[in-house]
Amino acid sequence: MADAPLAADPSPHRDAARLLDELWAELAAPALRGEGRPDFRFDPEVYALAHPDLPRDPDALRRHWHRPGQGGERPANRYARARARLPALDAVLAPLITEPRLAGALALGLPGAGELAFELIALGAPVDAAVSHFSHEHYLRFHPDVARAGADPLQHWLSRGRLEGRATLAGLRERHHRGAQAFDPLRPTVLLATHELSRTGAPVVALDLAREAARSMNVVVAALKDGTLLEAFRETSCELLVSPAPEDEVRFIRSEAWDAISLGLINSVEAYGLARLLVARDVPFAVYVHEYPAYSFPLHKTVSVALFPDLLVFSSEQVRDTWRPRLADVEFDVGRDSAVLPQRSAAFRAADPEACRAARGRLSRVLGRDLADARLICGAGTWQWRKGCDLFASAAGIARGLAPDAVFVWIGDGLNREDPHFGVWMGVQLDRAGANRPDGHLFTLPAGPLYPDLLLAADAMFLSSRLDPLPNVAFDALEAGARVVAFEGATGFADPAYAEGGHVVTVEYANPAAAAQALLAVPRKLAPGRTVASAPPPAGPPVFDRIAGLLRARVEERRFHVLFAPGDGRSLLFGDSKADRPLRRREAERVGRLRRRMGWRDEADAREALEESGNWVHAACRIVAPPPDAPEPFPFGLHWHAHYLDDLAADLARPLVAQARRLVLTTDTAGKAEAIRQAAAGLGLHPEVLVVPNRGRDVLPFLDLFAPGGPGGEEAVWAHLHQKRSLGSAAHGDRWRRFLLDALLGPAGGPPSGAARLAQAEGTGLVAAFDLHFVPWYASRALLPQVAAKLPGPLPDNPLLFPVGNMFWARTPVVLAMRELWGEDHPWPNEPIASDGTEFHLIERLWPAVTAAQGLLAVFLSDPSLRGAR
Amino acid sequence: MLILTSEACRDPRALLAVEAAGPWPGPVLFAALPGHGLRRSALREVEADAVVLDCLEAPPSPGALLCEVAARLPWLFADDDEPLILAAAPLRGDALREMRARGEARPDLVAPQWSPERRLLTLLLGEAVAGHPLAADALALLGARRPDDAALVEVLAAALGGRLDG
Repeated sequence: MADAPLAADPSPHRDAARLLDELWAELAAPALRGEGRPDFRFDPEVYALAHPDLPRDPDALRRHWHRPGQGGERPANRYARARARLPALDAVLAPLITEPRLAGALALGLPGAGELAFELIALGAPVDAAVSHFSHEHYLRFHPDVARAGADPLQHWLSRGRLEGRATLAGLRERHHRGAQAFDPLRPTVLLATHELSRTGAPVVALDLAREAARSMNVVVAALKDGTLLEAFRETSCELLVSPAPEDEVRFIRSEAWDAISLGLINSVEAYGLARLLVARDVPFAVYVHEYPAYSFPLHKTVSVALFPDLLVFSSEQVRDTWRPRLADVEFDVGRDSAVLPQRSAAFRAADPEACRAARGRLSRVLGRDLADARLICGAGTWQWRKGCDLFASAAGIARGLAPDAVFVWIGDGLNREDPHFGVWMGVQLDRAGANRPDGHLFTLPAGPLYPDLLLAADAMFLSSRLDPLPNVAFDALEAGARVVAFEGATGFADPAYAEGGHVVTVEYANPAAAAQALLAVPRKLAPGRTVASAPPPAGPPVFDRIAGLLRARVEERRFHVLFAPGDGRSLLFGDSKADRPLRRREAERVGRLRRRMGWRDEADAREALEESGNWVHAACRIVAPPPDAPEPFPFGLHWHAHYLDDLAADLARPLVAQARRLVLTTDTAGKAEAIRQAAAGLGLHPEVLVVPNRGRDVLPFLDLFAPGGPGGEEAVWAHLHQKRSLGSAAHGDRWRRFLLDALLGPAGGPPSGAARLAQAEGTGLVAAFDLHFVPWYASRALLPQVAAKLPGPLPDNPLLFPVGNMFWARTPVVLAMRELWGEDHPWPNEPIASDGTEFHLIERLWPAVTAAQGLLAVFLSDPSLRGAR
Repeated sequence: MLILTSEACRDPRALLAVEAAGPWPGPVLFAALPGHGLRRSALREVEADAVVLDCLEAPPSPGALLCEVAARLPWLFADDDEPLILAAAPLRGDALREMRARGEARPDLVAPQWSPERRLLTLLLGEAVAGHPLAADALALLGARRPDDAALVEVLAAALGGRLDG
């Protein structure tokens, strides 16, 4: 409730009141913008609600409030209402206040200070965030349930949010660190993004890059996760933000440095989420790729990395090669938009025998095993399958049989013997191998100060990783005079440049015997009379400068730009709200100007791509408008696979379903079959309902209809449909499935689709919906060799068009040809299967090829009236 | 700088061949508006002579296009001290050469030509106005406020010390 009228206050209260009035006048000004609310104790809107009988005029209301005996007990501002519900309101507010004078007034217990603080926050942006850790906008953005409920953010936080631990700006401000470097407005500013601040491979590279960048630029660091390198990053930057959602949070940071960012470098695929921020601000950026796509999931992570950067920098040619299929998926121009720059130059330094002996002495004491004359092999890294620690142990066992003096030592953390995915089994292998026994040949060490000693002492490093782009430990080993043995195709050290000096040797992939032999063939460091020349690293500008130079040149040389994108298409980065539309525009314009492919602009765009392709499959693809006339009734079969039964009854009510001469539904349990029969009977339909194994999604149940003696061969044309949901969110999946059904069957309660008429046409083998989604081979590309030789020509680099979602009309010979392509005895995988890259995902993409192979056309129906459904 | 929309010419290469004895001094931009009718392969060929701006939707006005160029491609303004010509309607004969000569002769000139609806058909900025160090920033800032073409030209002239003619 408001304090007593000012006139009644004794002098100290009057001074306090004057101070608070002055604070109100100053701090509230940005929100009030001259509107007349001179006193925080009185809010005419609130007072009017409490006195509905009074006129609305603010001055009249204020006079009424001042009049003795008339203000009464009714609230005159929002604070009064809130305090009635929460008597401890001032104490709750105190930790929230950041404005020093206001915080001081609260700490001193000045009467009215809590009321002033509350009323200032209640004004909303920009005052709320300027005086406190509370921002209405931030609260609604990060707690969308509050926004959906239409609740007042401040009231919600006071009554529930604070008790539920809901985020305010306090958390963001704790994670937003001022760096040790002053911001210089005359320098360019780079955003350096790293996925975390841990002392591991990619973040260490990011730190090196930040240090290089800081010589000529302001450096702003964004990390998705905290870590022990935070202080080191802070030392080299102007600002540092640790945030799982930087694009959403950055808007609540007041910072000259953030506003000045003109260049971005995302270090590692794992930090791909930062692309959102850079795309939204249209900042040119590069991604420095240290990972293989084979282990970078989910799919949209690698797709985003391929789609959005101006420049992709790979740490090795070998890593870039593994990305080529993904880059081809989005039509990425590898020659124009990528480069190879190792994070370090490889320098081989001849070992110092004295240092080597001393290191062996120290290790011998720690391990309890004399290493003076041993053939010492080291390995280093976190204990995990990827690092091939098991292969290291296997190679140690094989080497022992060949050379009893061989000793293998692995240094690294992360071996948890309770971890059933790895640690349990690695532990068993180590135990069986007699690891860490004084008379043994295999030892383990924790990461730490013995690392340099191990490298100095080792004759060779076994880089046993299954996939390891360009690990720093191998650079360290070379610099310590230890040669490196690695698996072919497993690391960037397989690049020819590293093999040239003879200090890196590769052997057959995942073959520990071959590795053991190669390791034993490595010259010993302490061999009598041995002299080895050092190979210094090639001189050159720092890696960051080279990346920044390439990026700037790439941007300034660009001769093609896309502007005024509508922002209504598919987005990988942003939501589908109206507020995000400008961001979707930026996304589409970026992808367009880079001439990469995320979706079709329109039918003409797809037609032109088909014409330019020149591939035999695409020559048989047509995009057509709906035929003007309704289809004449004709005999056809209709197959519907119903693994899910949601909405099935409504879907079966579409007009063409009843016209099918043969209606076959498949499902995987007798219970579902009965439910289907009942639903169909309610529509006057009496389909054949077949219970089939839950295998091959909707694809195999359909193909199996065409087995000898099956119903498939009895009709010349079939429609194939299903209930499965597989794209995006459930809501989007439903919308998309409805679009496909509308296109192929006609809308519920509407006329039959023209697709049926197209399917009857002579020479047509396949009819599907033209979809603005652009879906490439993705992981299915790896399966192409299984079928390519059975097709009459090479498959295209990109499928361009296929019945996305695997719903279509097809002529029976096309389906039979698809069966034949795989053969009667193909060992189809059982459920559960991956979300991409199985035979079933490939079949979906192969329908046009199989159709073309039959000398028939694959027709894609483009119906603009259905555009809204997508 | 020369900015030609596809309403000024279907293919800037032909126009430039007629207009320029040699390469056009300063950047040349070709804004392909919706319905331009050029295939992707043709646009790629245009890139040899002009920076291509593929506009997926029509800009609200030619003035808005100019502002967008300033906001998104500011580096094109950085080293350019030539007159700026924006052409958004078919041009007669040697109109470009004439405009350029005017812009050189009167560096402070801001000369628009208007459609009956007061949309820009052409805009000529003399070399002092176009080369003003704040030209790109001013256009970008003005564009964010979405003025109509008439207001844009008026404010631009005032902000960059130009003399309005037209």
